[in-house]
Amino acid sequence: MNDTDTLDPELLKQIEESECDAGRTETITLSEAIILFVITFVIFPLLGYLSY
Amino acid sequence: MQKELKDNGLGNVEEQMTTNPIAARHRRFNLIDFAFLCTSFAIASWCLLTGGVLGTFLPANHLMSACIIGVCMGTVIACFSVQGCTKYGLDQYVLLRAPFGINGVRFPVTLTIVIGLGWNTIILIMLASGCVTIVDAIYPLDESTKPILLRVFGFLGVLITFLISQTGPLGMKILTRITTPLLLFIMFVMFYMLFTKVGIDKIFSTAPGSPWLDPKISYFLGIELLFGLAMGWWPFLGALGRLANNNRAYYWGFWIGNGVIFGLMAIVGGISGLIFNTFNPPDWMIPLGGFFLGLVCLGFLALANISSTVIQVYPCAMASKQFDSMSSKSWRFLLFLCCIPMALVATIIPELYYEHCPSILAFCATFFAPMCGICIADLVFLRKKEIDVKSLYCKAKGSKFYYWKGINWIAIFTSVAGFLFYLWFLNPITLEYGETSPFPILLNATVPTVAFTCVLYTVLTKLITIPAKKGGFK
Repeated sequence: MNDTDTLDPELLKQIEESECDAGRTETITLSEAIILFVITFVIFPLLGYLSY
Repeated sequence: MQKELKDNGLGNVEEQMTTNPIAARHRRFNLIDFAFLCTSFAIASWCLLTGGVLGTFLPANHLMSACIIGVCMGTVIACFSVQGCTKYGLDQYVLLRAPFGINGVRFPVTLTIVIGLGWNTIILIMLASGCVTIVDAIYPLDESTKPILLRVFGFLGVLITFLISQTGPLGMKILTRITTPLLLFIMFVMFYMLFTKVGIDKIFSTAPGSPWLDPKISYFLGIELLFGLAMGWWPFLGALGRLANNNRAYYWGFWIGNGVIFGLMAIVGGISGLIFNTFNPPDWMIPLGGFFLGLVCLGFLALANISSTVIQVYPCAMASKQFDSMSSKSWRFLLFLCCIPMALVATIIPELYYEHCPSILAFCATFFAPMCGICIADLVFLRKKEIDVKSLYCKAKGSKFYYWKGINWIAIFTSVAGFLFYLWFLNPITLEYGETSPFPILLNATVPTVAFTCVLYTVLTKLITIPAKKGGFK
């Protein structure tokens, strides 16, 4: 018997739903991620450097 | 009908009260909703306090950029490390079973409780200090009475926190709905007062009261302390992040609420701290706002402090349930246990403890930067964000995350090495940078610590854990 078979059936159902939906949560695009990165790690420090 | 009651626009409420995963289809927090949620979490009395700490040693232009840079960078790094919470709708302590093991997760849980209660005690002493200032303004006190009153109000603060915390999330929800607008009111009033009463010229020409000898050190220490604060968000990111319906809402929501808006609010406290040379908000509210307005703001701040302590003590008590001996105890008993150390410090050594507020900020980064590094290495790089959720909930020996008797000793070892590595750069108690640290000061202490633990954990896992067929790595 698999160890995970001992889990509560309701929990198992929620886990399956969660794994099934996992793909649809990854909506941030590469360009958005780059924008977030550039603002936070390039533009803000650059402005800080200029203010210094 | 029952279905409608459960799913009332905020998602399945019952699911959100357990540690079970919440599937994306049941979550209702889109980007805007989630940004509001993060903002109401971030805007609390700690904005004024942390900004004020920076104001004591940084001039206005430096503190403004340090507030935004430190907290935004730290928030993004912390978010990156536990993004799996949003992907699978997992509570953070459940997700952390993957890198630390089914039993080893108690290690980060303990650190969370220690830092959470340590930070809470600071807020409680600020509350007591505010109450003493209010009484002193109305009925002038002699110097010998103030320390006694400080302890009495501190104890009362713990008592009120204990009573309100018992109501759980409902009490928090009601309290934050009241206190968030009140805090925003304080911020805007103080911002207006600063620019009208003090003036922009004086703000930018005032020299800080207690700067470090080297202005560069002051500046990077300011960024480092805000980094520390952002690392302090880390234990709570998963609890909120599992409510976001996608990772766009998760990243941008945290970045806007806990990063930018928090940073802007901290600037208000920072400029006030600079002008009045104190990080304690009750000390500058009456001089800045005038007698009546100052007293009103102090009253609002006291209420906001209670809200902050309730928000913090709740996850600490929840976290303590990860210990088997505590899981069967009543909610009231767990809250009582959490309140004991706060009451002891607030009544025995409030002044000494409050003086070391900046150290608590630095300790957040000391403890949580290595955790971030381990999570990034394990969950993002080694597992490629794919986690066997069933194994996270299985506590038997066959679980992929059972490691060695339920503990991943590699993660524990890497955490300890990370703490020591951080201490090599910066002493959190004296806030002095180590003379022997190997990198230039420009790199600060948090980023190298995250990078170091990330690399160390990856190497040790590839050398030891994967060959031993532990951890379910592919």
